[in-house]
Amino acid sequence: MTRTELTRRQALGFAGAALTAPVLATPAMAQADPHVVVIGGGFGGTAAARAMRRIMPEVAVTLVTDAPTFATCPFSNLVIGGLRDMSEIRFSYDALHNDGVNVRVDPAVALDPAGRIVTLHSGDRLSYDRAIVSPGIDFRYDALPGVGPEVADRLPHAWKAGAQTILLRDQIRSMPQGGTVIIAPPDNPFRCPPGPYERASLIASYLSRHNPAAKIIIVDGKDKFSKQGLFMEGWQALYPGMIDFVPFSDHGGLKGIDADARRVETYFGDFKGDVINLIPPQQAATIVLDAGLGGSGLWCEIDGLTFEAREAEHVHVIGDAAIVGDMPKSGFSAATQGKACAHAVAALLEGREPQRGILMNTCYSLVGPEYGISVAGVYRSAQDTNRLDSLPGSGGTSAAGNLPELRRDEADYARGWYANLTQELFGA
Amino acid sequence: MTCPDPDRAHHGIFAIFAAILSGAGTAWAADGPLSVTVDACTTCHGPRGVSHGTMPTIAGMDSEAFAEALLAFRDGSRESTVMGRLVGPLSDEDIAEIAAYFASLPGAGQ
Repeated sequence: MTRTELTRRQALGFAGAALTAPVLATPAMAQADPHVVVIGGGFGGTAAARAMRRIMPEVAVTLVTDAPTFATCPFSNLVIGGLRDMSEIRFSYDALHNDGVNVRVDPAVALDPAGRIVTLHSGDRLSYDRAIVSPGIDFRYDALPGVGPEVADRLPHAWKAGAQTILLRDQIRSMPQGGTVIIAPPDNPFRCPPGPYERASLIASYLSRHNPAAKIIIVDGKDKFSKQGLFMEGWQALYPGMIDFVPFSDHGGLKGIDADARRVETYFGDFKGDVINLIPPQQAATIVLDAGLGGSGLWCEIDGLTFEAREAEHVHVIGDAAIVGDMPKSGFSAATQGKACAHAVAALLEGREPQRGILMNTCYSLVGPEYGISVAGVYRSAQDTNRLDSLPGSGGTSAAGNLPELRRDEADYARGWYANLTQELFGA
Repeated sequence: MTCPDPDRAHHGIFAIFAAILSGAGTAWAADGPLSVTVDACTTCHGPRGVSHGTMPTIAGMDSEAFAEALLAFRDGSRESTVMGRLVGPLSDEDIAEIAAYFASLPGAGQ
């Protein structure tokens, strides 16, 4: 079914139908069982693949991913801060195999929406009825002055978890006493808006135990950041004087980066560090933009009801690579979208109208091991535009103020949140 | 089914509930919900509503107690860390559907 085949009656008639309509509609496909190809083995892709098998078991699902295991960006800051081991944030795809998902560790290199073909690194070509594309981000080193991707070997981004996470952790561990860590986050939009500030927090947690005279300077590409008041309150309470936030308007932007001297040059002065965590500006993964799904921009615009790309039919884009209305670029958002997208794809394959359900995002950050804060949002696609709008009377951040019991509870919930999220994606 | 507090503004939910429990809209399959909204719950509370951490397990809860809790989070009469920020937009029908679904599942260790 194409978007143009949806009738006005179908579009308007669905409200409340989840409670009244026959749910197990007769599959409309007369030919062979449909094939859904999922690109990306992260939060969005695994959630979509598993949900697809659960909702519509007759669908053949192939998940294409780059590596045999996946390390999560959520909780990678705990590894950097010495609170978890890398093995605790790395997961295999065994459970997906057991669900009947065909997992291919063979990176997707091209997507042809017109021919409905995904080409893999090996040269294999997969045809699909529907593709769910969740490849995440790529870095825009060309938007940084005088450096290329190779600089990550010395100035790690650690914004894709794995070897980069370990590199940054080890650089911090071997930093001289009284040294300086510079964190340089990009302007919006980028993956995980609170991530750099949780990172500063958990690096401070490590340093306060092992290198108490050390400093952290955040040379930011913007003036404001996610959960800013709560983070700054926590920094004052736990690490007074250790973290210095320098907003964009106080430095005027990056003018140069000297990787040898570990120096960040800005228009209003230079910052010398011992460790530099350089987080570059970002864009949708190249495969998305090469397929023309970004239009003239750097991210993929989608329909918020079906997640189908505005620029191509039968291709659904979720997670960080997409602009998903008001939803933030977070792993949890991607997992939520993966499930909702699987519902929509199943409906389209069966010739039903997709449900206009509610999506939620919750995002916990640890300011310290026993100090958690959160932000939440609730979203539904608008009846007229299908944009995934934040719903009034919902969402927002944890209460501000000196609330030690709440901070402890939210730290506990942060760990539970991660356990359940990863269990849903990778657990038996 | 009885309504424990008929003076509460939300007492109508139990009529909706009765309709759902009678099978008017059994919107799920044996191995998971077929509702986008119900599916939103498990990302935090665990697959099939069984928690593997500090979040409460919501599978196997009594459906009336479940609905009462969500209604209390929604009207602010029950304190929470995060639930009060999430349930505001849920309709009575959403709450009844979520409560009925998780009540139908086995709880932890069952």
